[in-house]
Amino acid sequence: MSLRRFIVKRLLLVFPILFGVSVITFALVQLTPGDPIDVVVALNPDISPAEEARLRARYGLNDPIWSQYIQWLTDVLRGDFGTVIATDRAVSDVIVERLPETIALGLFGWVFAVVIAIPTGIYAAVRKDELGDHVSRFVALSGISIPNFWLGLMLILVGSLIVGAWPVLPPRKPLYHPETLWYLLLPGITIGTASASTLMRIMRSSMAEEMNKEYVTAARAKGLPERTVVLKHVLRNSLISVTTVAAFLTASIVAGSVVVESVFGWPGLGQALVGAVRNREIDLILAITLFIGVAIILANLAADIMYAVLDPRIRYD
Amino acid sequence: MTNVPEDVLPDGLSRRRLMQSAAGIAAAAMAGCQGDGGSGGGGGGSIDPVQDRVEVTPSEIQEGGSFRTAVGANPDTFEFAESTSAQASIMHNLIFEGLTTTSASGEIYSWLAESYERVDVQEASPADYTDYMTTAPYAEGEEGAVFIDTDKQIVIQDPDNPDSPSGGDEARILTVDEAADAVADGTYGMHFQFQLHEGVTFHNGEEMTADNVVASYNRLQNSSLSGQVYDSLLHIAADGDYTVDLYAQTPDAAAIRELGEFPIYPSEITDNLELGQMDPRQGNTPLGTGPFQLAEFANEDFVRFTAFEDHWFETGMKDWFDGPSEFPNGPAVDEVDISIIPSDAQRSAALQNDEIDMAFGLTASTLTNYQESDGFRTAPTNGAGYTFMQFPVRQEPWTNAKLRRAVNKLIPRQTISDEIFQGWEKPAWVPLPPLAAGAGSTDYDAMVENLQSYNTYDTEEATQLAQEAVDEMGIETPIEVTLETNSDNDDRVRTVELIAESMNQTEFFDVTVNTKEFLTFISQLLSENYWEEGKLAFIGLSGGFNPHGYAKSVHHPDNFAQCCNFQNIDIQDLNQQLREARYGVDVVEDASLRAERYETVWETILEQNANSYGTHSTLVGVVNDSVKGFNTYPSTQDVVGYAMYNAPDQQVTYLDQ
Repeated sequence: MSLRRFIVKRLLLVFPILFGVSVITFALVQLTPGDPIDVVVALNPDISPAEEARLRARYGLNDPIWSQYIQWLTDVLRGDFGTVIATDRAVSDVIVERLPETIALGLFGWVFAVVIAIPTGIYAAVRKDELGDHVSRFVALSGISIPNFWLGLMLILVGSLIVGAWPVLPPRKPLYHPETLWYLLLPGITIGTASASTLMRIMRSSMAEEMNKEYVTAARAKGLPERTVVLKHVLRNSLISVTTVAAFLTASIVAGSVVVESVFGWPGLGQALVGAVRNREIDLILAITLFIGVAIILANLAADIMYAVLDPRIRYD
Repeated sequence: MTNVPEDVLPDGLSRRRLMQSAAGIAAAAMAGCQGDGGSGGGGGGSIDPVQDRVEVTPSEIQEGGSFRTAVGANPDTFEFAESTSAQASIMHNLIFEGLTTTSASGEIYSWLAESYERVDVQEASPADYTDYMTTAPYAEGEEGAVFIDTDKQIVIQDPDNPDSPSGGDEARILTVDEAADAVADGTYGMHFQFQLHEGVTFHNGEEMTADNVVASYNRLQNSSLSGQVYDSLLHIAADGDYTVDLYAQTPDAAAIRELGEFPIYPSEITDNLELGQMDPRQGNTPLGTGPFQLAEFANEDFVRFTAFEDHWFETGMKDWFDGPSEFPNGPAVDEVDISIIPSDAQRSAALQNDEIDMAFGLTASTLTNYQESDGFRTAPTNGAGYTFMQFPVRQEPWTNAKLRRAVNKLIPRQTISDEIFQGWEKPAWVPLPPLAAGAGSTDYDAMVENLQSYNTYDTEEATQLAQEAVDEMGIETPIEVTLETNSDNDDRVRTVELIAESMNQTEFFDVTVNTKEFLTFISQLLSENYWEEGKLAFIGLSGGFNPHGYAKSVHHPDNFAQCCNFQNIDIQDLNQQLREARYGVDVVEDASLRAERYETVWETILEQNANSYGTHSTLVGVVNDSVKGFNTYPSTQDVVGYAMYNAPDQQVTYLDQ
């Protein structure tokens, strides 16, 4: 199968996958007791049953579940992702407002992961079984094992409260303002640490594997400097697997944004999703879930494509 | 509540009570008297809820600076009438003002009104309005919900309307259109007249007149708050440019508290914006007369307010002001900056990191840490919140009051207060918190002394009561009990576990604790079937200065399947006592009589024990050392606005720069 056909096929699969995600998400939300009107009633106990009924009717919450879903799906296909009932705002407005924040955080986390992982992985592979290798592997294992929320809280404790160098509150400057980088550092490290650790371990094992191959021995026999052997020959071949994994890790960074944004009060989609779940804002839950689904699907597709581009021997059957 | 207030339900009247803090002129016993500065009403007088109140010396006040704080939730809307969020109210109270204002102890003072008087009070009931009523059909929605199908705001329904109407039946109703006719004929419960200050300007420069007041009140029609307004309000009308006549449906001792403090808007808002549109997210700036105006709003991020330079108020304008002449005429700070930070831990971290000046809604242990730290001050105030455990009184064996009282005697309130809340919440020895003592008791301390024995921890008496109940009912022990609460409040879960442990230490009970996420729990509690499940429910509720809510919300049939009569409680004697304590010419005109009647209510509640009251809240603001003069208001809704400036209490906060 050609790469083009493979991409088309994968893109066509996006729709049934998203349909499945939306059905499952919709069903899970419906199975959870309460809806947005319950929130309104809980906060405004004098609301009359008549007003409650009117509100439910207005937002179609009295309709059968299948009917609600079909209505939602029809609206989405028309580009209408629904309304946040508590604030009477269009879901698309919320997405547009918060998406840049999540992208900035995710991008920072991803860059952090790559920048930390590749040199460390190279170093660990070159110093295989030496102290530096053991230390870096221990750090990597810790990075994978430590939960995001705990790491975030520790970074706030140390970076903000003990050292006093970082702010606790999110920035008020535009995302493109240089000062925002400083604000991004702690949440970015938090969201990128697990990915950095995974990448570093893959980089190390990939490099170590390459360095045992015959062409490396041959290169060394030719008298090439070790630096040239490692950085020019070994690294290029090692990066094939690392690059694909880096793309896959985008998915974990997107998913991790939910926890990290909550810990740091970062006003992105992840924090919006937590609030939406708490308030049973089903339209917003579905929209953000779909968005995350699309991001993960595209990341995986990008990984597959990059793998094929980087290694022409790969054929998709 | 010391805990984040998201898991505290506001009782049906609290939002109105606390926000508009209207003045119950309960103390104004004669028609025509001035209502300013009356005590909260009872023979006991008002108790200042602010513990260790900090006072400022006017000559030391420093002008300027930005007061930075944080709230736990994005404002749902700046449209007051459509808002159900206490966090949003914090912001509303900086921008908007009402005809009256309230001190921290609940005393009511004229504000935008130069003065007000109760012109008339007379007996009136819904039946008296039937001649003015019109008809509207009942309509049936999905799932069988039946409602009166009209676009008009319903003021009163005919008492003879069917109890269980069907779609297509006719309802007789008094709407806002017919209410004026009733008033014209002299049919009303109470008549108040407000004389407005002249020269009050809105943020847009428009001068406030009586027409603005009427239009602002009319904006409440068919809003999210309409149910809270039109259970009291009958009609409002302008009489010239600076006189407003307001009529209540019945003689109601709490009428002015319920109706006096709704925000007043300029005609730019009332004439041009539909209900719900007064919000920067809709492209519109909220406008009022308040000391601050909205300067910048970043949704989900922060809100910044700047001082309104042309604010109308001067201390010399008010006869009731008895402070020094040097006392400022408005807030000392130039700016209030409110970050939106859902996590209380993050708000606390921001305070420690000097990114905000004040934090509230922190956990008990965090407050204790601040109390013991240099560089910060905790400012505790008796709050309006309380916890309660509601019994399934219609399910065996909980139909037996002795059994309920036995459980009540097993609640270790003092231990809960000391160990779980580290003293930040107080044992609820009586259902009424000190905050509402003025109107709800003749002598609060004496009442507590008299009734406290109902709620003291006593295993011996509990055992005796339980044994008597078991013998009377002929049931086997241990009685299996499910005790439920919300899972997202650690202190509350620990409280419930402690109660369960206390009950399990007797031979009578086998208690299982069941916790649920807040909204899940609430949606079940508010269903019409919860009472049939036979479970005990433990939750928090927020009241106000009006004592009525502390009894009615958790007992009255009107509140069944709403907040907060989950167990279908219907105690006839109590319902009657509640009516007689609040409604009637006699209690309107005699605050002491009203207070006496409430004391009877509290005793009945303790005797029946359909609810066990757990603790009364303390609201605590924590400020850094640069903040001077800060005192905490008893409710979240005005925790910032009150601190910035409250003339009745001579309250002003400034920054030591």
